[in-house]
Amino acid sequence: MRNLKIAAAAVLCVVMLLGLVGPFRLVKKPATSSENFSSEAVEPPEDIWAPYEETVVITTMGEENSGTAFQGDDDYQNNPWYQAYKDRFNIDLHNKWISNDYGTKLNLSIADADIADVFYVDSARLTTLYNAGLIMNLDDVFDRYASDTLKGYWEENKDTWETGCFDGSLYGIPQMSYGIIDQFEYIWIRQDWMQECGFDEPETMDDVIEIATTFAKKYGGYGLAEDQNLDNFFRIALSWGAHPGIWLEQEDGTLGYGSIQPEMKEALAQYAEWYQEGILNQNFTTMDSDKMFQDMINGKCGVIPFAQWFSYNPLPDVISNQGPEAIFYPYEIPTQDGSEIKGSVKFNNGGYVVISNNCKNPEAAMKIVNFFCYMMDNAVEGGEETEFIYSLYDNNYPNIVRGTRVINPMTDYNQYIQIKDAVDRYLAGEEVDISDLGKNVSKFNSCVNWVENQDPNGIGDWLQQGNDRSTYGIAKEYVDNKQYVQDAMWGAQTPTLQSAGSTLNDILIEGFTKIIIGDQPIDYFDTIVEQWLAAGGEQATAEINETYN
Amino acid sequence: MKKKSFGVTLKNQWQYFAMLLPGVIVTFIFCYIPLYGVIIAFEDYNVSMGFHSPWVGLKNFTYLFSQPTFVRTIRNTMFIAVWKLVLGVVVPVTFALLLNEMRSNKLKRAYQTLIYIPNFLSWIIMAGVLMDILDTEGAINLILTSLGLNAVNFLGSASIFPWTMIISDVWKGFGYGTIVYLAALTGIDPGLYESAYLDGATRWQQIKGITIPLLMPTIVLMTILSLGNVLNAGFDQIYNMYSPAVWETGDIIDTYVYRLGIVQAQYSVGAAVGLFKSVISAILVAVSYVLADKVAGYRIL
Repeated sequence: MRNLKIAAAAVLCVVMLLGLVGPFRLVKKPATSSENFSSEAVEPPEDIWAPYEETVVITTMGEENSGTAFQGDDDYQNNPWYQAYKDRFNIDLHNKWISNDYGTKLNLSIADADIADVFYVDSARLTTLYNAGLIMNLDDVFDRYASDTLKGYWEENKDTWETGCFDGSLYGIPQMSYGIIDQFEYIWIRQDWMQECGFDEPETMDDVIEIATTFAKKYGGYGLAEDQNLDNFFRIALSWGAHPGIWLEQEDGTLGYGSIQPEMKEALAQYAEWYQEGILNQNFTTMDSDKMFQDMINGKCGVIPFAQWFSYNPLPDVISNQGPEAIFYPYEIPTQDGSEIKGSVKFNNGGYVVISNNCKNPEAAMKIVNFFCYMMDNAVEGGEETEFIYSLYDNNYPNIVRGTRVINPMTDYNQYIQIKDAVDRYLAGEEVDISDLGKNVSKFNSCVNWVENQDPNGIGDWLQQGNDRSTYGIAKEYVDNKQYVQDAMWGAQTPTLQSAGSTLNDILIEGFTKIIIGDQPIDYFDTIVEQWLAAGGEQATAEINETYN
Repeated sequence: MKKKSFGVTLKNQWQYFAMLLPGVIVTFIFCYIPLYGVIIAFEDYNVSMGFHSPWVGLKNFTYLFSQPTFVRTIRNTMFIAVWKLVLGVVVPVTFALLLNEMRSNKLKRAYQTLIYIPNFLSWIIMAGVLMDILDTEGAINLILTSLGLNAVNFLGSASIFPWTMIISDVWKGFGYGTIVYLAALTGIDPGLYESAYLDGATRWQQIKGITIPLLMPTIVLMTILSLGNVLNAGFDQIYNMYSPAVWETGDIIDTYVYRLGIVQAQYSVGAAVGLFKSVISAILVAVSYVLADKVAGYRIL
């Protein structure tokens, strides 16, 4: 019996050991396929747009995106983008792997120092890769091979470009975003009610409140919509010159957090008063945004401070339910002192394109990036066929090249100008040649669809770009006149914000809610600020000042 | 009875042990091996470094207890859980006694089934329903206002929210407890009631003198067994119904960990809270096991 016990114990020990060893074995280096594809350095042609004489193979790592609607036999390896690289440049872009858990998979690849030639990373991993010496200094290759379009982005966005540099040298090309034009806030007001009551465009916040209270009296429901995250409060606080959620320079020259500035206290005092007077929905604390939207859809509220995407959600549902007259229009947020409103603009960068130190043909990676910029900005001038442009842009195909694209931050801005012009010509009865619109045809079509058929699905694009009073129409002025405050944290979050950021925000939201619903007096604001500073806000402020000031 | 050695038992009953083996292996793999991950509570966990992240000792714990928003979650958890525990005994016992006194067997069965039904609905569904019913403009408040009473903000008021959680949880779960106690009641010897009846005892005297004393061991047992759950104040219930306005009184350890560990990806601190909670729960389970043995004579081995 004793032997049996010992045997059993031994077996258990072995099992335990295996259990401990098991997880580590899984991390073991997978058989790399890159060896088969690594190509010799090939002499690049003089003209940056000309094809190589010999096929160049470079590798990438990609992110699976469920939004990509592959057509026919297309997949991440065989698709119009990769085909175009082959046809235009004789470059064979090969996927080392595609993962729906890009970050984790990338961490494993970095840990094994087994990375592809070109791929994208976030700012934290950019630093890791730079410190590990795995990525290439791009100064020379960018200078020699970047297209004029791409260099134009650099000229226009030097502060963003700096976030990809170490010691003044470029290591990661910022991928940027479709632009800051989509970051502004508006007050949306229901038009059929506004006309019935005979209101004009609101000039002051009092006008807004008068419109809201009149609506509530006449049509039932309540005046101003809010939900438990206080998002609308943070929007309307711009009226007091507050800039919640971003870091900005204070009078003494140091950087401070917008949500704890004295302007916020003023805004909060007024907002709490509105709540006490019954202008805000009294049960907002238990409402999420869906429930709040439900009230708009059911015609219980006609005024809401909101972002530009209100016209995409919930407005189509409002119109389906309340009829096309129940359209909401965006208005500028009036300021307290009648000065020009200033929006808040946050750093928005999709990642960084990096090139491996082992890449034999870094200029080939550069050509691929160039090609995306070209298709984005110059395809129509370049005489590309509409069908070809479409094959690259439809079905969310730009997601396929997530890792090797750089987006023009003026994309949405330019798109607005083009669409607005086309819509105006269409409304004037002129013939519009949609082949001039390139990738923007679908936006134009949905505007036309709204005008002709009052199709609720067209309302989003119509109020973003087509209508005379549109969100981008208003925001274009803001961009042109630099009517915004830019987040001083122009780059990655500091360590404290990464680890404690949402705890800090929770303190503010909870405290502000208490003041608004009257559980605490307005001077409780100072207590909240103290709590915020103590819980890590002070440290975060110090870090921000050190990094960005 | 003389205890047989394990070897003999194994020899005679090896088939049973063989059948037990898969379960033991699965438990071992999924419950014991992951215990290794507890060490991240003492590290500054970094995904790219995994379990070999820098060792920081008790830093995560000191950080946690320096957060005022964490300390209050312990208080809230205890408050909600203890009341759930107390009412979770009192209400089912009362109902079992009431049902037991009913003459019509049909009606008794019908009630029993009706009060048991909410127990089967998940909190996701229940929360959606309750949010509508308990809204300031919901069904209950419409009734209250039509009676001339003030509307009550069941979900948005910090002083009322914990009670909304306690009562709705007891309401949802008491059907199950009632059935357990009813089963215990049927085990009482009817002869006792007959002799009490002959001695002229009233119904109330019968309940006081016979039913409650004989039900006591079951009540004690059920209470003690639920002690280990005191730190589980009901994550799925509260997470689905709370909002920043009621965090002051309604934020419990589990919802806090969720926001911290999952939403904010602070794995180390999240693991520290989890470990803290597990240690307290383990102590309570041990205490309740000793108590169950001493008070109710209940033991497993």
